[in-house]
Amino acid sequence: MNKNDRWAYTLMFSPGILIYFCFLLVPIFLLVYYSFYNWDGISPSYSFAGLSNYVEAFHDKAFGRALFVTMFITVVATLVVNILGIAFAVLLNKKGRMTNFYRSVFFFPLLLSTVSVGFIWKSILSYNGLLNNLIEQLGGERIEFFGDPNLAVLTITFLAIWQSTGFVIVIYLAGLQSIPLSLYEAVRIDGANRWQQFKHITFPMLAPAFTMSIIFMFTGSMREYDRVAVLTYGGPAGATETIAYQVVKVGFNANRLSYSASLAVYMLIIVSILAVSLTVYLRRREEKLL
Amino acid sequence: MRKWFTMCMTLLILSSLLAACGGNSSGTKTNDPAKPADNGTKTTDTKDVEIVFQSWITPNLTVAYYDSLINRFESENPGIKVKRIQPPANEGNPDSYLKSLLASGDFPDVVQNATIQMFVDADALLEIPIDDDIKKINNYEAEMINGKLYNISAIRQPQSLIFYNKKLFAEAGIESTPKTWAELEAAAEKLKAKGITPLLTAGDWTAGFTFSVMTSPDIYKDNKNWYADRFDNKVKFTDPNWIESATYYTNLVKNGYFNKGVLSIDYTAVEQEFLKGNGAMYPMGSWFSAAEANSKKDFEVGVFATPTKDGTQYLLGGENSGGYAVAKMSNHPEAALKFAKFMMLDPEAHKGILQADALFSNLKEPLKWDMSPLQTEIYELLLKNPPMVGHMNNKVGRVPVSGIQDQYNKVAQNILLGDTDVAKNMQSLDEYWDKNNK
Amino acid sequence: MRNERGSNIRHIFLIPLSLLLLIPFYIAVINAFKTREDILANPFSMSIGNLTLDNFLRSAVTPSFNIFKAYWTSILITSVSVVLLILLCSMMSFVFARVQNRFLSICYLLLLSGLMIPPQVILIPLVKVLAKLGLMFTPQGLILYNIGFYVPFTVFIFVGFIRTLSRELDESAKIDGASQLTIFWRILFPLLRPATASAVIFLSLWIWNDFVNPVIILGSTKSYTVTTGIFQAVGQYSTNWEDVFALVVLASAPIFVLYLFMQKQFIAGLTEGSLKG
Repeated sequence: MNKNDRWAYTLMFSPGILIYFCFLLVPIFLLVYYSFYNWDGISPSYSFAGLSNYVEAFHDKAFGRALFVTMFITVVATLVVNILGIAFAVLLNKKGRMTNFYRSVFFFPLLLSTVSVGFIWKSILSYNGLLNNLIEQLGGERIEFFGDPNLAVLTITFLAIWQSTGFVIVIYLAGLQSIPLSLYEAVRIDGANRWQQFKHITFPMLAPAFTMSIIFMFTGSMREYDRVAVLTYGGPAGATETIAYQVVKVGFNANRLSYSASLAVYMLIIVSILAVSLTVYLRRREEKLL
Repeated sequence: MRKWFTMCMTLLILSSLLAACGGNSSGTKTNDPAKPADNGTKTTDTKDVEIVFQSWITPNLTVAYYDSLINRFESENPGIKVKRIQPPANEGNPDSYLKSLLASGDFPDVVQNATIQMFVDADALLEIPIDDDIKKINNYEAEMINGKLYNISAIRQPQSLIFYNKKLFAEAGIESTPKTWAELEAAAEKLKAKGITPLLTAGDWTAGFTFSVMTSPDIYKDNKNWYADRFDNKVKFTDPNWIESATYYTNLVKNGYFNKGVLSIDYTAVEQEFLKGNGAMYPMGSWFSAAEANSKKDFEVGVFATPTKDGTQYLLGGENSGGYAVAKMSNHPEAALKFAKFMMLDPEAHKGILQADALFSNLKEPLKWDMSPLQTEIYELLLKNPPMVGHMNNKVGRVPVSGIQDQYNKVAQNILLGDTDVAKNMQSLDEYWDKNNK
Repeated sequence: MRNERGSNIRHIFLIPLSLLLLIPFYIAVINAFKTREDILANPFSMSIGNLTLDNFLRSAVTPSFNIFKAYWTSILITSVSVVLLILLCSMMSFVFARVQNRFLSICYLLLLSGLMIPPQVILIPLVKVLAKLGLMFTPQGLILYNIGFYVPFTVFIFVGFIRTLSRELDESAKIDGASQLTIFWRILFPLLRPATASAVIFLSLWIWNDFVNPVIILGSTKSYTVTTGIFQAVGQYSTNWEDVFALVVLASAPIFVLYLFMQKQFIAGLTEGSLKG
């Protein structure tokens, strides 16, 4: 690398990383700092607490439960969204008016803010909502979409899938465009059918898009907050509390910012380990396939 | 070499960014540090004083209510401008919002409905001088913290009420309203036998609220300092009186007296259910009577205090709670105090807030407002009642540990989910208390 | 032939699914044009005769809320944030994709951690940082925070795409004596069009719909964005569903328009890319 290149690279790299450093990393560091103190987030003074917050968090049953719920939502949503995403992207990778229409329909849920999403779905899924009225008219029993602890987790997972599929479809659609058509022509001459084409060309060539979607879905679901805050408030009886929801609740409602910071640090550590291993694994896979 | 380049570039860009942004922002700051709070003096006549007011919006206390009062205040007090703001999210109180504003140094001059204790602990509130205006308030000592007053409020807000559908009560042949637990259970049984849903609640904060108003009066009627005693570990949630009270509530749930699908509906929905006649009794605070007055229905609504075991009436609720408080760091404390007093004590404003939220005046010369028949019933219940204490997350001798209402919700939701282990449920309240009492 | 039949079969499956997915939007839009009584009585009907524009006229401009002012703030914040994000992050990604050393690997890991933190969690520390830098209550503060927060996402989008572009492209340009900057802007950036289009759409809608951060960072005495302004205007406990729906439609309309507009660009970009391949 020559001197000019270095200059150019530095110039291109610095501004972005700098802003990131000031406005995201520094607050995260501050959060880690607070986690070693006993600050309520509001008093003018606070004292050093050592590792006590971390010890307490380790034995916190509610935190364990939240971790489980979050992992469940993450694994299910990531898998389902990616399977649907690839399937629909392949179906929609054509020209035509209807294709544009479908793409838009899948994308629409993303365009709404969470508050609107919350209101709309509440009017549909609550005990006396539209869907339950319909079920009753058809002679069925009303379903407690938010009232049954297990079903409530599934409802939140379903809405996460509903809102994220369009996002993943876009990534896969863009990924599909980078696959040279010549590759398909080559195997078509060999008489490969559609499934074989998908298996041997489309899917391997989608590897970078696959990495990206998995990582975004994984990290995005691990910080699930909005839908819970708007739809179930963590209930019933804490069944749908995710880690992020609990961190905010403990920090703001129970006034224990430092303790909630230690929960957040645990969360960061767990998610980092999983995300980094996932990334490394997926990158290796990319290198093998491309 | 490479590292040097990186470093230099970094510093260069950072400094230029900060210069650009910092320069802009300093010019737009509203308060001029060079000029101390000298409102009222003639020299600043040309420049209006602006105070920021954090309002609390509810279906009853609308934006229009505040805007009209602010307009009148501004015309009566030329030179003072009021800028109204409000919290972004539905969290039951403005505390989280105010905390962020405090952290950023943008704490409003006048705040409404905040948890006073918390912001006193944070040294954010101004001590309110006890002058003739304050002395107009009945029992103004009720909300004092360490002998100092920080909020201006002159209201009584009964919360442990049960509203009932007179038509459904008549259908089930219930002649008098229940006063004791046994009478309530008997009434519920009669209603249920007729195929009427006896009791209504919802799955959100309403669940914890209902649990609390149905159980707490029996405890606090005998101990008006219960939370203070809990801090001193003199009492516990697992004491026999709490266990007995919670068992009574658990049995109401176990016997199927509450509405079906309760955990899948929220506060606004359950209110509609009651007004549609889909349930006979609805435990809720006095503010419900404001919604009742504006609704169209083919039955009359009555009210009684939540029963206690022996039938003693003891209402819980707010006594001079909430209201308006002034920021200690306000640049215009006099104007802010003037505005806070105006919002609570000006006859028009006072009547407005009472009527809008169905509250009752706690002035030594109480103001009458245009009450509906139901509100008159509540007023009469209150006449017989001693000063109220709070419940759940409100003051009972002392303000409880922060966030306890969330644990009340969990306990109530657990019971509604069919968990009948009363001792375990009540113990979780003790555990929450000890864990978060820091 | 096979292709033809395949695409017809997909319609049988996709049309009902699309209609199902559109129901929630139908509910929001149709109720914005109905009177309160009509919403409560039959929330899901569409009786053309009874439709009204009153909800919009009443709620668009009130003493405490002016939708045009709010649109202006939102457009300013969103467009400046997005343009800067695209400029800065596409360049960063080029460096990540073309250079490998330990410093960059560490930076990459640090960026990953930014994807994992829920924004609500760092609110208080963030407010402290912004206050220290004198950036609280300024649009600049909000813009810089938006950039910081979305750098990881944007970088990952671009790095993924730049990796799929052959290095031969830049190497041949290099032989012609072009600098890295020129190579990137002249040769690579135009090829990134699909990635840029998707990044623009995602970033715009996230920043436009953001709710908590604008309220806190823009503060009390300054401007408001559409999303925050609307909820300030309606109030959270409000049961004026007719106003809520009308404002939801007004708040989301620009972002739907942007999407429909960008979608054309977006698809053009996509097909161009495939022809070149």
